[in-house]
Amino acid sequence: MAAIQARVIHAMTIPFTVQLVGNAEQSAQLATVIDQVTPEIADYLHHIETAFSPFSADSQVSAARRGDWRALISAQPSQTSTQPNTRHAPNEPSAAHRLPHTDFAEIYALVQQAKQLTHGHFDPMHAGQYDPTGIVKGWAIEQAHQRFLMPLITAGTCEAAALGGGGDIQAAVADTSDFTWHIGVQDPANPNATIRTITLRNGAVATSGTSKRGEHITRSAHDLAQATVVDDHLTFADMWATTAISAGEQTFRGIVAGNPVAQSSLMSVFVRPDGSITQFAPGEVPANHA
Amino acid sequence: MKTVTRAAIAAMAGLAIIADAFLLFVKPHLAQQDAATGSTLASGSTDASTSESSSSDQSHTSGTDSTDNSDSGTSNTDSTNDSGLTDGTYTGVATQNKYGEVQLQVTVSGGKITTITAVKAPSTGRSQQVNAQAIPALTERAISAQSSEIQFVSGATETSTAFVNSLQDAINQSLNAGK
Repeated sequence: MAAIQARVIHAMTIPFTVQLVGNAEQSAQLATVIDQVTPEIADYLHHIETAFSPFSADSQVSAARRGDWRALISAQPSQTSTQPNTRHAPNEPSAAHRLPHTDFAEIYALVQQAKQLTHGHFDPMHAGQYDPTGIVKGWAIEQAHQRFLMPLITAGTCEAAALGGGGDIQAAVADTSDFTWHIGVQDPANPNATIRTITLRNGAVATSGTSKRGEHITRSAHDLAQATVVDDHLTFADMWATTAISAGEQTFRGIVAGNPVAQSSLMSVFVRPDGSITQFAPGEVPANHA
Repeated sequence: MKTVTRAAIAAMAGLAIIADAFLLFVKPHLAQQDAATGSTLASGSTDASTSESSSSDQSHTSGTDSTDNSDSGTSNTDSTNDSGLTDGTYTGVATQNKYGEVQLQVTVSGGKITTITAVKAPSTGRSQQVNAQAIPALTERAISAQSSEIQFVSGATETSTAFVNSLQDAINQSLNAGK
C-alpha cells in the first residue's frame, strides 16, 4: 500500500507542493526524506526567483532590461573586477569564444525557441522589455524536480515524486512501481471542483487561464477560458498552455498540427467561455478543426 | 593495522575533496575573471539587439564563427571599448530538447554586444528518435471524467494568499493523514 507525504513551499508568490510516494518498505522513512528535501527545493526556488526577478534591480534580468546583456558572456556580470584591463586590442575579431552555460543563457535560448515554436504567441518581450517570467516558473519546477526528486526515485528512496507550483506539475514514477499520478483539472468557474482527471506516470501538466498571476499573456483571441496541456517537460507544457490562451483554440490547433513533435505528443483539455469542454489526445489534432 | 588503513583512506578522501573543491570553486572563478576582466560598464551603455527569431535564423549555420551580423543593431554608439568584452563571436553550448536544438551566438564589436542570435538547428531526425522513446509514456497518459482520487490540482488561479483551504491544501492534508 503506497503512502504519500506532501509538503508546501511558498516562493514566487505561489504555493509549491512536494509529494513523495513510498511503498511499504519506504513509507517509514518517507516523512524524514521529504522534510530533508523540501528545504533544499525551497532554497533553489528562492535562488531562481532572485536571479530572474525583473523587480530586483541587481538581477541579471533587470540588467538585461537596461540593455546590459553581458550576463550572456560572463558568468557573473555583477562582479566588478578591479584588475587592470587586459583585453585584446579593440576591434580585432578573435577566434571562437565560448559562452558559459548559465541559467541565464539557457532561459534566453528557451524563450527564443518558444517564440519560434509558438509562431510568436509566446513572446519574452513584454511592453518592450525582456521578461522571461512566463517560462521561468515552469522551468524552475522542472529543474528542481530533476535535481532533487529524481535522485530519490533513482536511489530507491521513494517510488514516485512530483513537484507542483501554482497549478503546474512535473511528475515521475520509478520503472519498477505501478503507481500512477492522478491530476485533476480545476474547474475555472469553481476552484473547489475539477472537470477532468489526467492520469500519467512521467510527464508534466500545466494550466493557463485568464487570471493566472505572473503571466503577461497578450491575447489575440478570446475563445478559451482555460487551457490545460500535458507534455513531457513542464517548460513546454507551460509554454503550450500559455500559447493556447494567447492564440485561441483555432490558431493553437493549427500551430500544433504543423509541428509533428507537438502533434504526436501533446494532450489537452480546453474550457471555452461558455463552460463547454473540449479535449484532444496525441495524434488527434486535425489541421482544420472547426 | 586497521587504524593505519583508515587513516590512509581518510587522507585520500581529504585530498579528493580538496581537488574537487578546487575544480568546483576556484578554477571556474579564475576562468570567469579571465572572461570578465576590465571594468564594469555603467548601466545602459551596451546595446543588444535581440534577433527576431523567425525563419530567417535558419539561414545561419550553427557552430561557425560567422560575423555577418556584426554591424546590425548598433544604434547606440555612445560607448567606448571599456567594457572589457573581447570582440568576436561567442558561441554557447547547444541546448537540446524534444523540439529541437538551440544555440546562442553573441557578437561583440567595438567592445559592445551588437547581436544576440538564437541559432535554430533543425533536428527532425533526433526529434523523431526522442519521440519513439516517448511512446510508452504517451500510452500511459489519459484524460478521464473527474475523480475524487487525485493528488494534484492543475489550475490557473492558485496563489499563496489563496492557498489555505484550497483544494490542493485539502488534498495535501488528507494525504499526510494517511487517507
